[in-house]
Amino acid sequence: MASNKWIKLPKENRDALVKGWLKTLLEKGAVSGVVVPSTLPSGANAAQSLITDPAMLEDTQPFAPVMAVSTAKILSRMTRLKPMEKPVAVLLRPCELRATIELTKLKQANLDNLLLIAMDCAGTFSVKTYASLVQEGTNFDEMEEKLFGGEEEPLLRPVCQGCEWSVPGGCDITIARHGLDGTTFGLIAHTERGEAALGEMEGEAWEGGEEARAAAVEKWTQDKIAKRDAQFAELKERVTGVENLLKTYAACINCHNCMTVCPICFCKECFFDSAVFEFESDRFMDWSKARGNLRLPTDTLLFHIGRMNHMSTSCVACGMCQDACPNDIPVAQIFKMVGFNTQSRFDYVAGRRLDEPVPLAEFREDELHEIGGE
Amino acid sequence: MAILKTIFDTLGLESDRVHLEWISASEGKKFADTVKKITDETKQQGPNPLAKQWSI
Ligand code: SF4
Ligand code: SF4
Ligand code: SF4
Repeated sequence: MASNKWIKLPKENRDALVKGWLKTLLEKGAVSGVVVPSTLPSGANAAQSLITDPAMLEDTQPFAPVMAVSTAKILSRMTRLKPMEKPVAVLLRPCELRATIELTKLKQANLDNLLLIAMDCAGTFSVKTYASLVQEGTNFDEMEEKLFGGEEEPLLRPVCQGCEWSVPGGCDITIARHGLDGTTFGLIAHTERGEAALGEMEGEAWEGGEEARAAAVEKWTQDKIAKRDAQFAELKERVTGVENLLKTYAACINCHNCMTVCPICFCKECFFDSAVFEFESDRFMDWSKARGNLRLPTDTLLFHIGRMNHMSTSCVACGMCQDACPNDIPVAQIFKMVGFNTQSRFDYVAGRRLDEPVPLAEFREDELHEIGGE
Repeated sequence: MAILKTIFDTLGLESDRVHLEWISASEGKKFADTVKKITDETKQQGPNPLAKQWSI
């Protein structure tokens, strides 16, 4: 990645500096809109919003550690029918960036005119947990510093605790923390578009940033990989095998929330909600007679395995599905583990790069000889 | 197929119960042999543990 501009600025003013910069971009017409989390009236939640009036940037919270909806899903809604006509700046967490890249490859989003600004991520809280932390008067900046320093925080969403892809790649600008000492934060332009936008920001040149950052990112990532592997090992004990799986999904009420909020599940009508799964009464009776009993609604486990089969190669492990589950089933952790294995089969990482084709869109003649006979 | 087998392996289900074979209409013998092979293997594996479960 060609890195063109590296600057650093005081961390304590990060919020105001970033907001001021976005405001300037908007005022000068360098962008025609900004997608960034705004504080909602309750004060205890922040949701992505599209800002066109520079004054409205006051109420934004670019770094609120909560992800109510994946921005990737929003960008897909906004750009699928027609790409942005004029530049729009978008603030993203790395998993949102990866989901956006993945959706672009799946032709469900269009990156034209989007200025992608992504941050080093220390993790996010569920909407519920975030609300109670706000009520307790939590100092999120302090907490974030501790997390970047390697401290554990059991209240973080489980996928975040073991998120090995929490450093962005493939954006125009990175808002950086890794490679600095915590008193400053960095802004790095990776593209021409990013460099032009950063022209509106004054900061101290970040000398030697590239090396310092590479080393810090490596350490952070290795640490996260170790946590992820520990999570996988624990999960394997708890949820795999016929008995454990049935126990895990015993709490599933078949509401399909997990699918609805998933940025990658883009189908207008899910196969599992389609006419294929509508049956005549006799079928239910036959199924029941085969075993003497039939769980209703039917196909609870099949829905999950089916979803894995359809999209686990593109799962970005963002955790949205788990946040949405009313019965605390570790859906995202299971999907992440399955996705890790299915993606590994194709040397693929969902959303890592725009120029890496999604596994199922590409046929490689020399792949997977061991499956499907001669 | 590779994906489904990988999912089964990850979840601790028996992935060798899933088969895929490309057989053209003219390959009658291959078809017969394959079906026999799968049937034999399945007999050896015994009944599917999921078949007895009503709560899947
Ligand atoms: S899943 Fe990773 S990138 Fe997404 S919010 Fe959590 S730590 Fe950040
Ligand atoms: S399956 Fe869950 S973790 Fe994976 S992309 Fe969808 S919402 Fe995110
Ligand atoms: S959100 Fe939870 S309860 Fe609803 S279908 Fe998904 S796993 Fe089942």
